[in-house]
Amino acid sequence: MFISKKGQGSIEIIIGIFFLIFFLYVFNIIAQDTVKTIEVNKIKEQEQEIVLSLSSFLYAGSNIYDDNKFNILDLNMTYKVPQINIASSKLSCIIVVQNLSIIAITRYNNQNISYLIPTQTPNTYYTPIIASCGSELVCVTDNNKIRCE
Amino acid sequence: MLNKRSKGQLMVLDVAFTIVLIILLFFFLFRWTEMKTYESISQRKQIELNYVSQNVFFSLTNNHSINCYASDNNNQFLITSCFSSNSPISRVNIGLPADYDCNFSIDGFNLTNNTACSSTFDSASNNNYSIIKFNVITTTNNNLLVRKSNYLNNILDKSSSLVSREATLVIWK
Repeated sequence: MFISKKGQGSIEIIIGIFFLIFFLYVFNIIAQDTVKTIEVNKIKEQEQEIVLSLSSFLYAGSNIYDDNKFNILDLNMTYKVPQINIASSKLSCIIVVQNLSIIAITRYNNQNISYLIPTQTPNTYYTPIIASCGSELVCVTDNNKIRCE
Repeated sequence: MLNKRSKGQLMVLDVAFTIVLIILLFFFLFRWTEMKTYESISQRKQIELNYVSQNVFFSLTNNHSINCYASDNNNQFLITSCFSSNSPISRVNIGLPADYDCNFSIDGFNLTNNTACSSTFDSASNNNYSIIKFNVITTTNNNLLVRKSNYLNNILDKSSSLVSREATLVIWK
């Protein structure tokens, strides 16, 4: 079969364009997945910090409350739940404290990214405690227990 | 001087090298991301262990349910890091998560009510653990109540039934 030099050149250009489009497509997918992996890790790191610091806060509060039982004082303490940020945006998240666990859930790309620590919440607290990121959690004494809202 | 055919071959080689370089860059990107992810997960485990250890240590040494207290006619005062043989050490008292284990012991002193922190620790099979050694005082009373005069004698280095000892807390996942 005879193909003219001009025709051969056109076929080479088409193959070149095809490869270019293919590379851009594959590179785009890989770049998106890489960014996603890094951002999910960043979210998990921030969730962990929030959950662990909240756990410390609740335990410290429980001990202070015991002190108050001894010295008959009122308790009023506040914890500001930090925001979860990634380079591209601020994300909405929620923290749920239950009897046997503390969990942080963040909405990211229509998926829930969560971090859970299976720690027993002191029985001086009313559970569940629910707080959203960026809000203030205020804990006060109420009928010989602590209520956080 | 190169003829048209040779020029064409060189251009094809250039394109081939570029493609190989791009593929190598992809692999480099994969490896870098994998390494960063692994590093981040390792760091998260370490941070969690540190937090849990500090929290358990604080709850173990500043806790009205576990530590002794001195009383006079009006008030009761918590004596931090003071243990009786009957101090109730449970997971909920010290804030130890379900997926962690711990061992708490006091040299020359037996804790009879230690249900949460009495697992056997083997350093050979655990890479990620935290050990805290600290001084405590112990009372021979079965309950947590200590007479104020007794506590003051201990502070003033006078004869007292409270004894200073070394304690070890090991926490691992």
